Amino acid sequence: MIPRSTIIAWLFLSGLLLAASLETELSAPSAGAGEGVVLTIKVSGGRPDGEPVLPEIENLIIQPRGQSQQIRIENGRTTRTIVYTYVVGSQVPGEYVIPPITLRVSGENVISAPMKLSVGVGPAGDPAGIPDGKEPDATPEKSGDYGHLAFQMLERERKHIYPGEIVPVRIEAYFHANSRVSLKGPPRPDGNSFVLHNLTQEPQQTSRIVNGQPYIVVTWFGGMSATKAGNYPAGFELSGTVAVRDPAAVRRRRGAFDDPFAGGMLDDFFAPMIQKEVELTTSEVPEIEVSELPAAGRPDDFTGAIGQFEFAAVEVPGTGIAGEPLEMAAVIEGSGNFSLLEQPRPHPAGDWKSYDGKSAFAADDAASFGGKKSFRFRAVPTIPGQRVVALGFSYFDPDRGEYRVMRSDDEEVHITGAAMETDAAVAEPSPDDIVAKPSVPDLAPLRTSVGAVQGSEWWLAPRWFWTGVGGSGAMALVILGAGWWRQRLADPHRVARAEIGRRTKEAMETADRAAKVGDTAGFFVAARSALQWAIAQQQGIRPEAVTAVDLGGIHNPSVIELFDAADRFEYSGHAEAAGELEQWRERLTTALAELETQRKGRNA
Amino acid sequence: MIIRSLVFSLIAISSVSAFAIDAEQEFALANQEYRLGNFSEAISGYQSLLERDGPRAAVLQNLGSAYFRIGDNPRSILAFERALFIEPRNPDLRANRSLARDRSALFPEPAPAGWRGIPHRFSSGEWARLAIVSAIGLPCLALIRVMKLRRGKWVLALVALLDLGTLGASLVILDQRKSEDARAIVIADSATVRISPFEQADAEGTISGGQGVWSDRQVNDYVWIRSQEGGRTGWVKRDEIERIDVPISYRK
Repeated sequence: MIPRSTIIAWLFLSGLLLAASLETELSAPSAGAGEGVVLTIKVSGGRPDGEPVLPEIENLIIQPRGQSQQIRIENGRTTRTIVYTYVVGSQVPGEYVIPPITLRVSGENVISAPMKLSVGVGPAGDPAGIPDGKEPDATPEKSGDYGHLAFQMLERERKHIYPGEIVPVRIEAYFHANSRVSLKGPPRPDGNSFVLHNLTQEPQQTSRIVNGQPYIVVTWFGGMSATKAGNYPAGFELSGTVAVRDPAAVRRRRGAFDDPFAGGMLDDFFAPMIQKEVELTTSEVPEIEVSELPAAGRPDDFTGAIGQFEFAAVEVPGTGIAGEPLEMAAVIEGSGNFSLLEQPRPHPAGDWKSYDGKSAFAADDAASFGGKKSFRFRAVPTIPGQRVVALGFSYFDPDRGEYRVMRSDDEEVHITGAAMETDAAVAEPSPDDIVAKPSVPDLAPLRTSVGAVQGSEWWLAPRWFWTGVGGSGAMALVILGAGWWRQRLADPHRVARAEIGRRTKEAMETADRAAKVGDTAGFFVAARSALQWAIAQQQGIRPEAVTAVDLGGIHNPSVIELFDAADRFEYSGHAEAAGELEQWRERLTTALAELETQRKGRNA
Repeated sequence: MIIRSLVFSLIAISSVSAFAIDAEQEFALANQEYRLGNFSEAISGYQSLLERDGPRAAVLQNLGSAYFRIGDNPRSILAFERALFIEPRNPDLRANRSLARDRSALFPEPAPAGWRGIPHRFSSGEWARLAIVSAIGLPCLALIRVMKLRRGKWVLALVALLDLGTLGASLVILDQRKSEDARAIVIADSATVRISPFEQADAEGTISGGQGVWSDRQVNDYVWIRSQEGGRTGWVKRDEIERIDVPISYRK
């Protein structure tokens, strides 16, 4: 029988063992001004509710470098630790205290211990080439007289880097405090040996006294990687336009007055500005050793990823069919050169054939040192049965100087169907084989007739095509237009109108001729004919059917009078004098004009 | 004079016939190489036929099959896509393309449903033929109209409207199909997508071989692309992709 007190003590200790914990560590207790040390925060025994919130401390710079996860299995018990990494440093020497950090882990608050960091004057705090405290006398001529460029790796304890590895760097540009600067772009490597990554878009700008002179210091942070192994100078260059007051002109003005009380701000104000396009380069260029990655122990699936990486999530289906693709997914988190981190492969490798899929990267910080990369791809199982699969990838850890192979947890997959033939199992076809025996799912049979050449029809060429389309459209319009015109010409009403007009005109001409020669009979016959045609057009009847009775609806005295005169002459045979014939002619013209006006008015 | 014309015509016909016979023979030879398992020789035969005469759907289909046999999935997909450009409704070509895409582990392309799929069911050549036929129909209908029809005027009007509609739709579709010219296939095993058109630029990711992309402007040796799956954009090397529309070297 176990005593109750023992059980209680055992439970208490178990609780302590399983409780969440928060550890913080600085890689070094001191650093020079402008140098950085690595701060790691390790969370064990649970999952934190969020990322640690670091306090803001004046003059202390804290830059996140990503997070990673470590899994440890001891005596059958799995311990999971999440590690957050930061770079900490300051431009200003002094003693800094990082207060305790509180983090909520699995529902309980855990608190770290405070940390101290001493920042002294950095060994490379001031760039080389900056003159000592005297004011310059001469007019500045060279680029180096207008500014200076300095570069520093933040992990100063690193002796070498590896090709493809991204290391954090700091680049500073120094300009005289009274200068005006316009930069043409960020700094860039001088040469092809190094590449800059994720340089800060908005550099920091501070003031600093160097060798007794005030300077404006512009600072960029980013990553640098080498393209190949060897020893290379890490030089950088920066282009811009700098304007300063000509110190030589200031001195000349003071000399001219020869007044010990002359000088100062007013003299500087009136001194002319000198502007120059400058190309700053790092004056003391450090040589960086780029070591080849070790060949010993390099895993077969190593693709060049350098940093610290870990599986964050894995998705593998539970069932599948041999020979048919399955969709898998994985998320890998950490820090390093994610661009060279390729998708994990299923293991055991002989049981699967995988194909390149899609990937996406989400950065955790502005410099993109840390983040998560997700993969989605297809893999084909080749062997049926109850199988076990794990995803795996490898990378090189520069801090440890060794390759690491990562495997996800084993997942069970049930594969049905028949085993796939591997490529090695397919025999070479013998020359006597007429029909190929495919070892892969069948394609459609070969086509035996060569067929026509596509696009060979001349009328499909753009020039002829648009000519055909446009020409056909134009022809259709022309045909429609011609048809409308013909229809118009054949219109019976129009034909009748034209005929009436012609007859009326003929009669009028006959009447004119008769009047001239004094032919009374001829005149009145022609006059009545003209009037009959005009009335027939107006009333829509045949002209020979127009009689005096039909004149009742005309209401035109001239017309009636002419008809009466024509009848009187026809029945009586009494001839009128030639002079009166002229008057009758005028009345006839008037009557015809009035009839035309009446007709038009009626049609309107 | 007449005899001379006849002689020239006979010479022309026989030349065309000889040309056709040569092509059939070459095609048969290439097919024979394929059946014997000499896929590389078959590929050479199909390629030379395409270079010499121009694009033929049958040659492109067999070329795609040969690339498939040697495991070059991206070029296989490219050849099938080019053949489908000419014969979009060919079920064998569609099946072969699906097979090649499956083997490349590419996700199946969703086909446009309903009336949206109509423009893709016909090739550009077929739409152009339809446009020409509709255009020629217009003056014919106009001629019938002016022949003083007493009956069927409404039917004629309907037919004319249909004809105009067909012509308009064909021209619009042909204009839209111009964008098809910008489609390309990644022929490398995987193409690296970079943020700027030079080697040292950061890589944003990769596009696997056989995937379709839309290509745009070109700077130096790089082409701006947008992937059909996921819409990823960036610069890839010019020699890592190849456009689907039949290359100039295939055209006469």
